Amino acid sequence: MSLADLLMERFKVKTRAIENPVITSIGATAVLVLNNNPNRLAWVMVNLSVNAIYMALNNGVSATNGIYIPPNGGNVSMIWDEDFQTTAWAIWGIAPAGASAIYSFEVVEY
Amino acid sequence: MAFTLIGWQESEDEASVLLPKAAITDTHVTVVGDIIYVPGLNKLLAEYVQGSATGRFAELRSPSLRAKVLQDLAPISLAATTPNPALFAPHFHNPITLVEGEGLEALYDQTTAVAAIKTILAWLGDGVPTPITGDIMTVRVAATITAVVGAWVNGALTFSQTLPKGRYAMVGAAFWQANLIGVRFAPVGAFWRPGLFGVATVGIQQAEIFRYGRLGTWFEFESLTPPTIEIVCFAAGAATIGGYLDLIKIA
Repeated sequence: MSLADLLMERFKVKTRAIENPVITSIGATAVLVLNNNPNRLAWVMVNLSVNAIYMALNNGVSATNGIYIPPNGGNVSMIWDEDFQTTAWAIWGIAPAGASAIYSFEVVEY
Repeated sequence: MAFTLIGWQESEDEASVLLPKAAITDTHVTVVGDIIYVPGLNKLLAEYVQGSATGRFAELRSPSLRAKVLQDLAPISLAATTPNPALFAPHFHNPITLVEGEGLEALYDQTTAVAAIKTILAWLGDGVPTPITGDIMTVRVAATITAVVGAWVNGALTFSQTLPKGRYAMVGAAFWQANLIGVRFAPVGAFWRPGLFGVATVGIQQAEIFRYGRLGTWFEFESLTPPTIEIVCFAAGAATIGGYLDLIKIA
C-alpha cells in the first residue's frame, strides 16, 4: 500500500506539503509566517539564523510575548491531534535582531 | 436559474441620433460588430446604461422586439464613470423573451458634439431566478487586471482567506474600483458568465439584487479551482479591484 493509500484508509484525507508558504525571512517587525488555513493539518518552522526568533498567534508577538525559537536550528511545530484548532490559525513571527532566515512548511488537505 | 452578462461599449458622438454601440468583444457569445446574437439564455432580465453627461435615450433592438416595442431603457446614468446602483431598474422577475439566435443591438443618444464612452450591460437568463437561503458566508477577494476598453479582460481572484476544502455555491457578489463598470465570473468548466456592475468604492452600496442569494445560485466551484473574473472598465489600464463573494458551502 502506498503512503497515500494508507493516509486515506486511516485518516480519510489526501494531503500535500507546501514549503515556505508565505516568507523565508523574519525581521524586527512582526510578520505573518503562516496564514490562517482551515485545511492545515500540521506545520513546522525552523530558525536558520543566528538570532533569536519568537512566534505567536497574533501580531503582538515580541521578545516578551511569544514562543522562543533558538538560533541555528531551533524549531517549533504543530499537529492537529495535539495542538487542535491552533494548527490552522495564523502564525506571526518576529526577530528583534533583524533579518533572520527561516524555513517552514505546512501539510494541508486537498 | 442560469444567467449571463453581455454588453456594448463605444466612444462616439451620437449628435442627437440613436446609434448602435459596438458590442464588447466576447468569447462566450457570438459578436459581430454591433450585434450580439442571443444565446440559449434568451430571457432579458435587466439592463444598465452608463452614459454621458448629455445622454438622452437608450434602447435595445432586435427582430422580435421590433414586432412589439423596441425596449427603451431607463433610467440612464449620466455620469461618465462607474455605475450608480440607484439608477438600476432590473426586471429579473418579469423577463422579456427574445429569440435564440437573433441579433441584439444596443443604441444610445446624446446631445453634445463630443465623443464619450457609453456602456450598456444586459443580463440574459433562462427564467425567473429563485432566491436561495442558507448559511451564507462573505469572503473578501481582490484582482489586478489591465482593462481594455471594449473588451472583457480576464484575471485571477485572490482570496483574503483560505476556504475550507469543499464545494461552494456562489450566491452573491459586490466589486468596486474607480473605473469599473462590469464584472462577470468565468467559473472553471462552466459556460455562462454571470455578473454584475461595479461601483466606485467599497463605501457604495451594491444593488441588493446581487447579494445574499437573491438571484439564487450563480454557479458552483471547488475550493481548489475558484473562478476567475472578467471586467470591462471606463478606461484602459491597470485596475486593482476589490470585492466580496457570498458563498454557501454545499459539500
